[in-house]
Amino acid sequence: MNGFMGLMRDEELVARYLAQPGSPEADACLNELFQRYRGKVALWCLRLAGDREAAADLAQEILLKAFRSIASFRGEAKFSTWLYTISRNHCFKELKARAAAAESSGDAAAIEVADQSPNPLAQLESASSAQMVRELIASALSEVETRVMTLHFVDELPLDNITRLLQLDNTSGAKAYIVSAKRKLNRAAEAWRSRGQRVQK
Amino acid sequence: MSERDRERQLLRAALGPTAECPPFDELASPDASEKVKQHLAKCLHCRAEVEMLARFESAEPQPAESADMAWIEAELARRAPVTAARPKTAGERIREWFGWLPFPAGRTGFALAGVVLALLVAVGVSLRLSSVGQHPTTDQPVVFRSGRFAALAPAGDLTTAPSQFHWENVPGAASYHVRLLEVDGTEVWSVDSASASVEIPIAMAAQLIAGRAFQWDVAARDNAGHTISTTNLQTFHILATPR
Repeated sequence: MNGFMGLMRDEELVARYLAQPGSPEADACLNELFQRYRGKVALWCLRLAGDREAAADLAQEILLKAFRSIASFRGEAKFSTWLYTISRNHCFKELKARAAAAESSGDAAAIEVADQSPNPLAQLESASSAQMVRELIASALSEVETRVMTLHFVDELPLDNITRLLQLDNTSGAKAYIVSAKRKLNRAAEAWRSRGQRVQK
Repeated sequence: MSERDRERQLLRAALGPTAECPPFDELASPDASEKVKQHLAKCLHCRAEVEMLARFESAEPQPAESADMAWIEAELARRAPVTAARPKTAGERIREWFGWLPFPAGRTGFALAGVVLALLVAVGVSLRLSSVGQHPTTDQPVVFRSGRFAALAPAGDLTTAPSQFHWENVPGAASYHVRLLEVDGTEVWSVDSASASVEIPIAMAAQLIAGRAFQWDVAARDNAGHTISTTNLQTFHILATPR
């Protein structure tokens, strides 16, 4: 039976499981599905958490959560997208909570110490600042720098977790990327302001 | 606000999702529309999200991770398998109850088990009838209805955030407990209501971001606070851009 199921798409396995939950065939579908993704979830958790015990706990919670809410999977997205969303949300939420509990918000201080440069970015004014910063980011930063900045400033992930998740192998990991990205952005903002002043004159 | 706080706020606004961002499943779909592809080409946030998904889907352990991965996989297998958390079906319960009887497997076995079950039910009913008029010997809540009532609105695709939850009235219910959930089951908000509807506070409604799907359900409770019936999970999705 497993050989046959190995040929089925993820979404077909879910549909078969949901059609007859509890039947031996449904259980086999579910096992096949989780067999396919257990490693991916575990690896995602390992890279985010950094130690295997925490990763095993996170992976178990994610798989259980996915199992409990599998009836809400409507097949409009790929199963891997749906499972990724659960994995992402669960891990990010847990890691943020752990960082807050450990008061490890020393990340901001570490970046401040490493980056004492002037901050023209913060002096940008006008309702269109966010759009302006988007354009500066698109023109000045690399894809990896943008990714690191997003994970740090939007998802509020601790720097260590970002370093592991993105497999950054430089000495200072995510911190170096943020410091470098902020310098580039400040230079770009300064250049933009200078251009604006010249136009006004 | 300090310079650093302003900078942080600016970066968050620039790198975070915007009202134009389509739902994530549309972004990640191999059949994404031309409009979604155009958005993806220029949106930093959506590009980052899709890249993270690709990273999740294609990840393979590095040699240095192999030992940890083997340990985690063994640990997950050692712990209760995921299916153990599933509520048992009637078929499984029957197999469990009557597994010790010398019935053959398959349909015949189930038929025989069914006969035995029917006999036990008949005996149980006759004993119960003989005790009519006696006070119950237990203070367990009486679950008068194992079926479900309907969570009416919001449901399906919406163009604006909803302002109210509305569900079917349950006779005998003293209160209702409403839960609003992310699609992964994370509880976002919950509230108790005495009637079959409840307003969504403005602060809460503001968190119902366009482009995302949410689920909600309701538990009807009796005077003692015991759940007497529940709805199925209802899903609604606030469209990022009205279709």
